[in-house]
Amino acid sequence: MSILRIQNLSKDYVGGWGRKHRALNNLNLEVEEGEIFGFLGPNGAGKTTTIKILLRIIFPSSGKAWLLDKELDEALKMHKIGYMPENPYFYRFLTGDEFLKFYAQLTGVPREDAKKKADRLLKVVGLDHARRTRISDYSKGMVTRIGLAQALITDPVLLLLDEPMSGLDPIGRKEIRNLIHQLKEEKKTIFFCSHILADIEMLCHRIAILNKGNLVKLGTVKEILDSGPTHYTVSFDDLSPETLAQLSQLAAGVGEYGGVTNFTATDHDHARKLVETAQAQGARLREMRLDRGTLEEYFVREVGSRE
Amino acid sequence: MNKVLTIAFNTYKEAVRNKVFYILVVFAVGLLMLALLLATLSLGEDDRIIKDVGLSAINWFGLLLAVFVGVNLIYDELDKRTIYTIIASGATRWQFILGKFLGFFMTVTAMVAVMGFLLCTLIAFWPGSNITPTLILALILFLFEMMIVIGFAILFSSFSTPVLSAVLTLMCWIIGHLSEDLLEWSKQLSDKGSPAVAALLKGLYYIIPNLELYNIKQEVVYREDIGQLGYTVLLHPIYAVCATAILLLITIVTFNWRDFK
Ligand SMILES: Nc1ncnc2c1ncn2[C@@H]1O[C@H](COP(=O)(O)OP(=O)(O)O)[C@@H](O)[C@H]1O
Ligand SMILES: [Mg+2]
Repeated sequence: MSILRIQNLSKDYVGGWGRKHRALNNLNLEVEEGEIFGFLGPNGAGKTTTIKILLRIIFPSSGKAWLLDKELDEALKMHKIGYMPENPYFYRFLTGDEFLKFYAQLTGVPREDAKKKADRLLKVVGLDHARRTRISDYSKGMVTRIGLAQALITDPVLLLLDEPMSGLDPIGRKEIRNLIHQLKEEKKTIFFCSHILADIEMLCHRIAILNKGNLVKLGTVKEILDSGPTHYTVSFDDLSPETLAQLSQLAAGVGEYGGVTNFTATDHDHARKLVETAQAQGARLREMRLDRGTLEEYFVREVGSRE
Repeated sequence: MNKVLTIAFNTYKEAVRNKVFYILVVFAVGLLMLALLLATLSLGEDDRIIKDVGLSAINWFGLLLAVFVGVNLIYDELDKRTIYTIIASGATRWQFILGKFLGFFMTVTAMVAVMGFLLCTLIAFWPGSNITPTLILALILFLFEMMIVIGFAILFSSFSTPVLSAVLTLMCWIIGHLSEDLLEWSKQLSDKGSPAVAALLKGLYYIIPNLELYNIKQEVVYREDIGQLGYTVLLHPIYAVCATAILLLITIVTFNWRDFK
């Protein structure tokens, strides 16, 4: 069963003077139960638009989507979906505790359970100490965490997280990442929007890359990185000037950092040739590795080239 | 219905934790004190003055609250995007609107109740003055007037800015109180040969509820017996509920199709 299915989904925003702006163009996507799915794209790619359509905050111009194998309206009423908005701004006059109870009540959690759940979640997200503090006095990181607790109050099977780590410092991001890891263990399905690639690389099974409303790439992180160009880097300590000159001739590129000389080879055979030549002259091999580039490099290349 | 009530209670909580609410209450209490002062200065008229100024104070502050807090009710939720998680949690848009309305009506009711209680206490202890059934009725009728005003505030604020909504709501309130004059003017104008304006006035007369129906201050001040008001007064609350229902229905219908930015 695909827990999230999007079919030919498009969204046009109508701007001033009735001008239309296509924010999402014919998107097709399926997410399976238990997946951590990364929805990537630069700012303005249409990620938030997609999530808002799924949650009926806005309506699509064409196409259709299903959650939990049900029509959207029906799916939302089942209270099995957790949502964490981008740059969340919650009711500031409520304390953390009241805030969670409000959402518990809204989603039909019985009163006795609501209290227990709120207590447990406040501990999970590390806000036990701030339970009686109003959200207006929360820091950005605390607001993000209470937002996550809010998304979890119904014990959702599917979580839609819109940029949960943007605007957080490295420690805050690590905390959220740990929380998501924990949810991964609990076999929850997570649909995770971000433009921070390191987070996605570390967390997600599969990713989709969106740019200007178009799906650019879909696959596992490994598939995507393998599909990009690769090269080998061969490094040596202390080369004699003659060897250096000879290897520089052979290699596709050369560089020196802190006494280590790195040569670039285009493929495995090329790399081996460099190593053999150097070793024949008595040089000592330090390292030989396959460089696939990072997701970030891939992303910049893919998205940048489509400007 | 559970969702509607949850949203309603939350709205009430928000309003009573809002500083504006307290400022209004403090001002209203101040005005009641002024009534007291005026009453001590005027000889023999004190009962009338207390009731007149007291009721007026409650009316004005109720109106200020209804308009200036009312127009922000929906707007703030959209502007700060707090509505996102509400909709995502499965509440429908009509539940949201109805919840906001009920919550805010509770707030206004609470404020009128507090001030009404103060006024009644004052009157009860004032020599030569006493609480009449007409006075209580005046407070209750006022609540129904506020119901309609809140309906307008919510309707306007669901599609325009708070400032514009406040202006439009106040205009409706003024027109609502001029209702009978409107019909009169319309007749005069059509006699004088400007049928277009006459038709406009007549249109307004029919569209905007007659809010003067809820104003029985004269009857209170001149100590008229409640019986003299006639039984039609009992129909006015029903009229208010219907008018408000229509206003909310229009709000919900337009709200249902909207994208939230
Ligand atoms: N309410 C709106 N009205 C008009 N245009 C919008 C609106 N919301 C988003 N857009 C436009 O749609 C595009 C996609 O936006 P969004 O989905 O927020 O991107 P992302 O979340 O990937 O950063 C952007 O070009 C943005 O300017
Ligand atoms: Mg976004």
